[in-house]
Amino acid sequence: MTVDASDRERLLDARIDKLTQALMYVAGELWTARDRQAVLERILIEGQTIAPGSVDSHRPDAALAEALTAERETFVARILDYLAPDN
Amino acid sequence: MNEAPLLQSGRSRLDFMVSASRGLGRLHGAVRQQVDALGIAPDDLPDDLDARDAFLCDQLAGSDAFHAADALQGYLGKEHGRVARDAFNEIAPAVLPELEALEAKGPATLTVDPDLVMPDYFDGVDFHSTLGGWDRHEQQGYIHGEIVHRLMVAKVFPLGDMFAQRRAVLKELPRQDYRDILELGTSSGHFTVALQQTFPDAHITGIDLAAPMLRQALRVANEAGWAWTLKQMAAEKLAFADDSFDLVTAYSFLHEMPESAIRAIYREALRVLRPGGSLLIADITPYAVQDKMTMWRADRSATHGGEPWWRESAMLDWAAIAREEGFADATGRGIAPKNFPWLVEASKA
Ligand SMILES: C[S@@+](CC[C@H](N)C(=O)[O-])C[C@H]1O[C@@H](n2cnc3c(N)ncnc32)[C@H](O)[C@@H]1O
Repeated sequence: MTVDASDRERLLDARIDKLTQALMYVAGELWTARDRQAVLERILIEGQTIAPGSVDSHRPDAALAEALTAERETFVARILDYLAPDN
Repeated sequence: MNEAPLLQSGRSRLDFMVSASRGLGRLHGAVRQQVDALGIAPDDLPDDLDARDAFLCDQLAGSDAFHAADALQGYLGKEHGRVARDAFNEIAPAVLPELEALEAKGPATLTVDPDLVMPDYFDGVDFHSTLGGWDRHEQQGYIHGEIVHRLMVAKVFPLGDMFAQRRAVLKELPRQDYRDILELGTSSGHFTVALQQTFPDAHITGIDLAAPMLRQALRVANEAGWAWTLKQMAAEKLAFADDSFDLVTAYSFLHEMPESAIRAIYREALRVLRPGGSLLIADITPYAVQDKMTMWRADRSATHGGEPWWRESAMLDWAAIAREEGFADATGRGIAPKNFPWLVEASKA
C-alpha cells in the first residue's frame, strides 16, 4: 500500500487519536482502582470487618464522595493539560 | 425509581465518564476561544456544513485542544455504553427480580409486536453511539434510562436540567383538560412522567419501536401506580382509530429520523387527533436559528457521535413541514435563553 505525504499525515493523526482514546481508557481503569483503594481504606479506618462484597457494595458518604470528586477532577484536568496545554 | 445500586467498579467508571465529559466541555470552550483569537468571524464561515468543517479543521490543525476534544469524544462515545452495560451486568442478579416484579405489578400494560418491521433508518443503529442502540440489549431501558441518562448525561447536560425542561414545556400547552394523550417515542418514560404529573387525570398511551425501552417505562408507571398503555409501534403507522386523542406529543424524537419519516408521523398525528386537539413536539434547536459556530459544534458532535439523522432533521423547518402535512396553524419557537428545546405547536381544526 502506497500513501502520499498528506495521507500519511492523516493516518498518523488518526492513530494518535486512537492512542489518546486508549490512554483515556487506561486512565479510567486507574481511576476505578484509586477509588476502590479509597473505599477499602475507609472501611478499614472505620474498623468494619471486610467480607466478600463489602467494597463492591460500599456507598461513599457525602464527604468521601466529595473528596473523590475533587481528586478525580484534578486527575482528568492534569491529563488534559498534557494532551492540550492550550486548553 | 431508586437510584441504580451500582457496585464500586460501575459507580467509579461512570464517575470517570462524568469528569471526562466535563473535561470535553472545557476543551470545546478552549477551541471556541481559539477560533475567536484567529479572528474568524462566524459570518465569514462557509455556508455549506462540510465546507465549514473542512475550513475550521484546517484553521485548527495546530490546536491541541481541538485534537484532544475529538479524541475524548471518540473515547466517551465508545466507552459510555460499555461502562453502563457492564455496570448493569454486575447488579443484574440483585435488581432483576425487582424489575420483573414491577413489570408484572400493574396497572400499566405493555403490548409488544413481534412482527413489527423496524425502519431502515433505525435498525441496527447505535444511536448516540450507545452500545446496543435502543433495543439490542434486553435491559436497554434500564441501562439507558437509569444508568446512562440519570447517572451520567443528567450530570453534564450543557443546556440545563433535563427533567425540569420536560416539565416546563408542558406549561406552554394551550389547554389544561387533556384526557387522552398519545406520546410518540416514549422510550424509558422520562417525558411520560412529566406528562402524567402535569395532567394527573389523563390517560396516557405511549408508543416506541424499542420494546426494551418500553419495558422500563412500564416499571416506572407501575411503581407510581399510573395506568399507562404502552405499545411497541412505529409512529409513522399508528394502530389507533381516527380522532382518538386530544394531545399528541413527543420530546427529543424528530432528530433521530429522516424527513420522510417526520412527514409520515405528522400525517398520522393529524389523523388520530380529535378536532380541537393539540400537537406539541419538543426537540433540538434547528440549525436555522443557530449562529454558524454553534451549528458547527452541534453538527460535528452529532456526525461523530452516532446521530445519523441529526443533520438532515436539524436543517428542516419542522413547523413548515407540519403545515404542508395538514397542520394549518403549526408554528415553531425556542425556549429561552438558548432556544432549547425547540417547540412545534399546532392544533387540529
Ligand atoms: C431520544 S428517545 C426519546 C426520549 C424520551 N421521549 C425522553 O423524554 O427521554 C427517542 C425514542 O424514539 C424511538 N423511536 C425512534 N424512531 C421511532 C419511530 N419511528 N416510531 C416510534 N418510536 C421511535 C426510539 O426507540 C427511542 O426510544
